[in-house]
Amino acid sequence: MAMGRFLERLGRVYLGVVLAFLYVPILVMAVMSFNQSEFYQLPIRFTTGWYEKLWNNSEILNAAWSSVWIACTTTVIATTLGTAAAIAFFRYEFRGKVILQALLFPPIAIPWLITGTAMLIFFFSIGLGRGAPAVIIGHVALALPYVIVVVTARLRTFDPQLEEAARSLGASSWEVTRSVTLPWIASGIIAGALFAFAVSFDQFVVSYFLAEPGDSTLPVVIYTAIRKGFTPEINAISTIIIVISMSLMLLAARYANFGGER
Amino acid sequence: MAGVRVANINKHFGAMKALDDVSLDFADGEFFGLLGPSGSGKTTLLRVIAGFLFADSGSVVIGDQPVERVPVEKREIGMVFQNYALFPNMSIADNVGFGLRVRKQSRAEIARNVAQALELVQLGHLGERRPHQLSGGQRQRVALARAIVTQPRVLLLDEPLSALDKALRVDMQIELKRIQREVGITTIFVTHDQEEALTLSDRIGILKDGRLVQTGTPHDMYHAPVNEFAAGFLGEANIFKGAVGASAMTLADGSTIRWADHQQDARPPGAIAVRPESVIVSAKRPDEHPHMNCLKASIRQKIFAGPTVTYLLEWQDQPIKILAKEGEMKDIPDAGDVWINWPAEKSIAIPAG
Repeated sequence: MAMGRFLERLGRVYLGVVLAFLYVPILVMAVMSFNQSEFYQLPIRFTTGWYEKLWNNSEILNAAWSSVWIACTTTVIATTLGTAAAIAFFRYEFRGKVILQALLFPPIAIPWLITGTAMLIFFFSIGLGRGAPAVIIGHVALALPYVIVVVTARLRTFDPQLEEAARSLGASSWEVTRSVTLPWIASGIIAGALFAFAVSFDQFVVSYFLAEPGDSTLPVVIYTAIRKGFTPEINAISTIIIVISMSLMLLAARYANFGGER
Repeated sequence: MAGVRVANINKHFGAMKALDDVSLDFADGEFFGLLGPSGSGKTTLLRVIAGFLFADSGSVVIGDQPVERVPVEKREIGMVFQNYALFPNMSIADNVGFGLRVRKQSRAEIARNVAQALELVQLGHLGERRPHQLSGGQRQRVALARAIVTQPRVLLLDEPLSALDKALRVDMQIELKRIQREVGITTIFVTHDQEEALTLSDRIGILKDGRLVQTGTPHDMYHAPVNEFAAGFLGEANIFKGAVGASAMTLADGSTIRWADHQQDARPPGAIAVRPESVIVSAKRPDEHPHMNCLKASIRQKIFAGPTVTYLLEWQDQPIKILAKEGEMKDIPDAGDVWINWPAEKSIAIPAG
């Protein structure tokens, strides 16, 4: 009994330590974005000045805008292609299926630095060069396996007889997909889309390699800014991003239950 | 509505031959039971008719339309699956109306037809529920309503009752038969349950190892099986083999058994089958009679099951099963030697080879 209670308490302490480890730095950053001192001097004197400064920093705002629309485009393309691929893997037997499925995993495991280098060399050799199209293609390639894996996991719980039943009732292949298959895997698709968005929005290495200098995404600009000298503006933009992405996550968790049973 | 004709169907799965030259006619409006052990090809045949599988060779004709190259969704069939396969994201009414929506019927028509179909299966009041809120028997009815509301040419049932418990299954058998009669639709159903096949079918087809063993009415199939497998699969049978003479068979213990002359094929039978309910047990040797068969056997076990009593006996190391009504056979010891006898006309002559 005593031992059990001890272990339980230990578990709670452990959980607390992990949460602190994850969130204290973020909390400090958020608090400092409201501190007047540029050098993190205490006590804190409240100001929204850094946010105002951020609002006038066109470089960061442009980069944020690039990040958002590139992530959205990547999400739409990767989710559509990934869902279609997952359904095809689920529904059909064809030659080379196992090899294709196996080929999906290395992109997750290969370091992004190597993928980025390879893409840069490839895009230059085919004449595409750097720029937004190259970045989007790169991001889609990175996000696609995540979407396929997540949607496939959801499809494992799907009864293929439901598709057969719909077909026996006269539904065409598209009607079967739209009214029977997609509603079932919707939560998986949403979870997959979130992954795709996160992979693209967080992406530093591939963006750094493939974006045109001077017109890059937020992670690249933040990195460059830090090298030049740290300002609390970075804290401010980071805080905004965290608030937005945490809200999105909470919303998705509530709606999609992370791909589990509703 | 229409009859269905399959001819010379062959189907392989890899090296395994699932259907071997199967030909069958399903008459218009008939309730046909496909019966066989698992792996006999009965479900494969149903799926070939439905269009989920394509045969290697042979023809499938629904009505007078050859459908070998017609996909499932264009075959105008209704199908009920073993696990019902109701769409979990739709209400009961939307489930039943699915095939009508696909056929672009108007909202009013759909509402009217769905209401009618749900009324037919006596679930008129449950249209707004979701599938997971229904019991197994109710889901079964919904699946049936969904399959027939589109007025298909043929209704295919894949082990429709096997997921229900026994009491409910008997109710649903009666219900299924009533609905089929009312709609008058050609119905082909697959089952491994011989009692279910006997109860429901106008005609039965027995399959084994991908081959069609025998077809006929339940009565004919029960009383005149073409081989030992058919005799043992549809009902139970005690099989006797021995040296066959002109009108009697001499068994290993020297005793002879006879069969009724009118049963005799041109060829002598290969074996004699006797149904458990045809045999009488007596403690004393009955008087010799030319039309009675009599063997000496010993009782191993007596199983009381309320209205019926089953005796398990042994004759020449061969197990014998006898079924009697409770109270019908008195003075039978629980163990020891007895006489089993049955009239010659109850001997089922099974054709040789």
